[in-house]
Amino acid sequence: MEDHVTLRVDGDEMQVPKGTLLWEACASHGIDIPIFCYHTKLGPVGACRTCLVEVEGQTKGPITACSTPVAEGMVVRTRSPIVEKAQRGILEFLLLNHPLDCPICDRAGECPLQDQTFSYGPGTSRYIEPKRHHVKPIALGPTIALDRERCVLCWRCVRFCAEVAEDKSIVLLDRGDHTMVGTFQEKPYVSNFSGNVIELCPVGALTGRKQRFNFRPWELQNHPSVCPHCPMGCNINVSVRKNDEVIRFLSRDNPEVDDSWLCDRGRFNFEFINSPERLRSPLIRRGDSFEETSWSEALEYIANRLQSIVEEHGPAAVAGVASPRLTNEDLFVFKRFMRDVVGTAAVDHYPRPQVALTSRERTALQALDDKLMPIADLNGAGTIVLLGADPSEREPVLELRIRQAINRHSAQLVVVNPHEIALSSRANATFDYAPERFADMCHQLARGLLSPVSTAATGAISTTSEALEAFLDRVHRSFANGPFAVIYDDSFAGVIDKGDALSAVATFVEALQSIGSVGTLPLLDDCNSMGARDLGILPDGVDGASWGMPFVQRLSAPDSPIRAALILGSNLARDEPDPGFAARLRDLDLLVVHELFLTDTARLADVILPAASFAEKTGTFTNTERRVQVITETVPSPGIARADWEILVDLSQYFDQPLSYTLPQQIWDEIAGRVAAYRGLSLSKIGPTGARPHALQPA
Amino acid sequence: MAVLSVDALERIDTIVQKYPVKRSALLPVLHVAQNELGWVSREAMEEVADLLELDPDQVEEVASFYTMYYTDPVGTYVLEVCKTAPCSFMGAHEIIDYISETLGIQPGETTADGMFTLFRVECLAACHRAPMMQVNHRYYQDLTPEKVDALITAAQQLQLQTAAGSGFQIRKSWSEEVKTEG
Amino acid sequence: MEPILFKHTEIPDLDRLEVYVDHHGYAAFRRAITELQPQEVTQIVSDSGLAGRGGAGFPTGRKWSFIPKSVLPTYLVVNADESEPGAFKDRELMERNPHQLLEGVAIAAFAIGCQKAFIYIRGEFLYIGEILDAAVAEAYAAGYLGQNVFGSGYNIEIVVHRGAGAYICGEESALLDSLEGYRGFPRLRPPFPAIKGLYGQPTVINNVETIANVPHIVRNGADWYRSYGTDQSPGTKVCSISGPVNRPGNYEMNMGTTFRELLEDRAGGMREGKKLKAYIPGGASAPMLPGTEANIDISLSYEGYREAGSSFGSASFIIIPDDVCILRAQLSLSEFFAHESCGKCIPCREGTPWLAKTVRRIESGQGREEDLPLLLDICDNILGRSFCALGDFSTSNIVASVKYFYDEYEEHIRSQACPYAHQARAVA
Ligand SMILES: Cc1cc2nc3c(=O)[nH]c(=O)nc-3n(C[C@H](O)[C@H](O)[C@H](O)COP(=O)(O)O)c2cc1C
Ligand code: SF4
Ligand code: FES
Repeated sequence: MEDHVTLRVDGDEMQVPKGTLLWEACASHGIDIPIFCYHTKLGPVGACRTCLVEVEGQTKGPITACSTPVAEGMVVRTRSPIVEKAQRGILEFLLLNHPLDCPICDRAGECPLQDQTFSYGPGTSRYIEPKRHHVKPIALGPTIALDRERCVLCWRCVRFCAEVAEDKSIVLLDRGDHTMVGTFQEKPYVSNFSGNVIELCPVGALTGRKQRFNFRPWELQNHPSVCPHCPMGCNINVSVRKNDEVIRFLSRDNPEVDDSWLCDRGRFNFEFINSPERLRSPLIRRGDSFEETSWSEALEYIANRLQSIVEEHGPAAVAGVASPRLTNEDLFVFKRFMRDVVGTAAVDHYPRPQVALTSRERTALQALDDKLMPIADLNGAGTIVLLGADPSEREPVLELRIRQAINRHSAQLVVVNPHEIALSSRANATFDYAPERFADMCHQLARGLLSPVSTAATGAISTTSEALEAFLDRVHRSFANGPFAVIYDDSFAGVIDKGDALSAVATFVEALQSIGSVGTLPLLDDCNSMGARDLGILPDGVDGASWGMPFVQRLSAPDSPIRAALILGSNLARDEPDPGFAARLRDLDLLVVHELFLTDTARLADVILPAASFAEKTGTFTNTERRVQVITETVPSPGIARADWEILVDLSQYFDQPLSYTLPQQIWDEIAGRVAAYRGLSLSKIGPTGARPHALQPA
Repeated sequence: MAVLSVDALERIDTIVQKYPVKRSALLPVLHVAQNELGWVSREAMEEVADLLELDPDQVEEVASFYTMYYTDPVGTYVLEVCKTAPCSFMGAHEIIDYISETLGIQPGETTADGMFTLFRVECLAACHRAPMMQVNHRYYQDLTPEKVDALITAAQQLQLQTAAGSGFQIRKSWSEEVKTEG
Repeated sequence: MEPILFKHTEIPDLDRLEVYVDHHGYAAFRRAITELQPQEVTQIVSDSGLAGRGGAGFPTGRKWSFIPKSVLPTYLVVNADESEPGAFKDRELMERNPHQLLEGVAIAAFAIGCQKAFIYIRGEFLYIGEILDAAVAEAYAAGYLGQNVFGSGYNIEIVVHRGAGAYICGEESALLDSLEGYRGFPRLRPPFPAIKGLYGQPTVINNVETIANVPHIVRNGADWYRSYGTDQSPGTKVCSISGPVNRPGNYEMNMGTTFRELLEDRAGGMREGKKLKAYIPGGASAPMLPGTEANIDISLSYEGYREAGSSFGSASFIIIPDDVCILRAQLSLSEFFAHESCGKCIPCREGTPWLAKTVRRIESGQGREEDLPLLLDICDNILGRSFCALGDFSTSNIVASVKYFYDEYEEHIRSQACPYAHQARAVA
């Protein structure tokens, strides 16, 4: 093993890859060395000196394990009188000016300083001088509170801002023992990623303003899950108090997906779960108002009405729309219910699709999907291309992955966008265009890529000019380094030629392939948009994906055949721009809505069924890179609310061909057996950090 | 809000040219800004950030680290008396007390007329000419109460003569006039 | 002894280019770039035994030889931060003979393949900056610096860079951070500056005095240089001496002569009525020595002071007279380090103010029996634990003053007062 070195730690021999930091080597062999400033996701700084260990032959005293790479034959002692004295000494220094206000500190109970003091610290302090004082706590920004007295100046937050989020907003001010963290002239710390500093802080200096003082860590249980707020699928732990209240989301490191970061949109959006506004029981319309009712009454009513509509107008009169925030299990049962129980093919998911795709566009979509790449492969990309896509808006943590690819793996970035985006400042090249000319831009780039610069003037493009030469030159220089990662926004927001846009992206990708290999990543709408597609929750979809006439278009048509609709969690009445659309929903003979809240759409319904949120059910989501990940039930649903799939199974009991699922695992087994995209992906393969279907893993 | 003069911007431009990496010019450029404004104000930091393509946070992070940058306003003349061991053996604290009494301010304070600020500072590499101080970063060494009086008087007179002029000119002409007998 | 570095004490106006040139100025540089290969220059400097004059005494030629041959660009940075209490030699070397430094820079740069060198002066050296800037401009105009010097094809540019008040920026890696426009935080090593220094490129950092020696060595040869000083410490050393002596100032001393010669002959002895209680030989970071006859006879050399349990460092001699309370002297030193700690690492950031506060408390008559072992234990917890040597430096005089003046500490604690309270103020 040439690329490994052998060292001896506390008498035990270990082999680790060359270049490993001593701390990491020890950690991987279960040897605990205390740290404060070091964090596995940030570069080492060796500032706190808590990780001192003895290395034989080091004459200058103990060295920091966090910043020292292993070396062949190293002999290390992590427990020796010298090391223990050093650790006690450092912890004593750390506590000199610390307020020791553990009884009122949010961090007490999960505080590394508390733990380490207990394990390695001195019993008492010999410090009798007055402590340093600061006004506490202050609002560092809208989301974060800062208690400078508790701060141990590990500068993890500072390094996060400088190295990871690159917003540089939290910095060190002043120097020596006056050093403090802060922002320029107390300007509020505003960032899409602010919440990460709460978790990075090894003490209670940075806390979430939303959560301060309303829980004690030891009252909480953490349940692994997946953030439901975008298709990135960042892994989270849901902290629950007293088994029924969600208190916070914490990151849960999945190096393939989030690399331990969360965005604020995800992290701070949990209050909806505990909201008193949640629907607690089925509601049935009585004239202009709703009345609470029982499940049996509600379901029987729906079944009767559906059956008579089908009898009168045929099954095609019934349509169903589901939100891509539902689990794969919900969606699968939904599709089976519509097709096998009611007998209609009219299903769709919303948001999206908005247009019917031509066969050419379907081919384009398929071609792009064939190149779908794992997120983590961004680190191996020579050039990342943002094609009309702004990850910071749509899948924020993807922005951090791109920054990492640039900073640590020297990826180039090309931004093709009508306007400046957050990542533009890191771009090696930018191309802009009028928003409605997206497809033209893609075609122009594709043609540019295919025409050698020298011969460009002779024909590939009809006009010849200096500007053209310059453009071609820029294209060739910008796309010189493969492999390529093309990230496109598959909603084509603001693009007029939506259908054309897809084919144009495919054309561009094909042209790019003449230079190097290409992987693609679409930016989607919701946490399970990919699952909704894979499961064929698409208009006209019978088996596999198809993109016929979308529900909105169909219902808006003057001769719409639809008389009844089931809407699962989609808020069409709010989101459709056409003001007449709500009236069309209201005019249906039967509108059933599954919802968490009394939304604009729910208000139009004949029957509203209270649904379980993602935190109240077990199932799977498929993220942007087609990674299937598990969410688990963490709290009970409010009132008698139920998971969407459970509601549908119960409803199907009133029909001739009832469904018989009792557990979500059963449903996934069936998906893995029947749905092409997931064939063979059994739950046992998915594990705590998810899995991508085998066929798509690179060989 | 731009606060630096055209002249300062030109000097900054020359400074920036000297470095292969723009950020390297940060310390010298802050000196230019402070020399012009008397201190490093919020606006100055913002403008410097802009000129060097940095974030203002990065500028304050640096400005607040170094003792020579005044991040709060100071008087026209800043008296910085060395208090470190070699000077203290030679009467530095007596000189500090003397200045303090004469001007009626404690170290760290500025006179009500905005003329003088007094600071105690660490070793300024003039231990052999103790006690000593810098006034607007010019050396005044082998201090005695008489010398201190003379300096203060000279400064006050200059202030009267050039009352219409800018602070920058006053400090410059004064330091040239009473320049280095050291 | 004829001065090597301090020729300005004998030749008037040596700071003017014509005068400097009249006295062999830039001849060594001419010789180096027209007659020698870079490696040969490094070899001469290695052979001369010149060691760094910034404090650590690292062999200069060795340092240059670490620069990889094939990584470009490389940088030379002159450390003119001179902020250690007691040190003021580089100031005089730059003020009185700026071209000697510039010529040294040009030669050293040539030896390591550098075309752009920086002189980092402490920010308070405003007028030194003006002197150096003028000298650089003069040398450019006369063709001694710039493009294609002496028709050799070699280009050299020198940039004078002012810091802004921070002792830590004398530490070479913090200096680099500062020069790059950051807070002056010392850097993790490895990589060492010779591999990744300024802007991530191979870099040599040398003290002003070190570099000022280079023209003389290249002009006169290694053997000539070795005819000065001792075997282990060849050459001369500019010694700064301050405190109540008759002629405080800088004196260029042949290494191996005694401190007595510096104190009594050159500096004219103690001022009337003052007695030598103790002295610090190498700037605030070097442990003080009591003023015993034996200690007065120590030879001015790295080995001399190492053997005496102290350090020659930058040869900055601070004289502590007998009417100064040792705790007051110590307090001033401790407050200096607490003020100058950069704050990056915990032991130094928290430990240095703790030391200062404890000394202040004892001095003001509120000391406790347990404070002396406490002081020593705090030192123990800083020494060898801090990120850079500043932390270590902060401990050396506490340990020394407690060791040599234990009685004085005890007296403060026992009587709950400073026995020197009626005397001159050394504390604020
Ligand atoms: C806290 C600290 C302060 C220092 N200050 C200076 C200084 O002001 N001037 C200097 O030349 N070296 C100083 N040094 C030493 C430098 O780090 C470095 O060793 C020296 O510049 C190397 O040059 P030389 O080999 O020519 O001595 C300091 C070191 C430390 C740890
Ligand atoms: S020892 Fe630590 S705090 Fe002190 S100056 Fe060095 S790095 Fe900074
Ligand atoms: S964890 Fe190693 S120095 Fe902080």
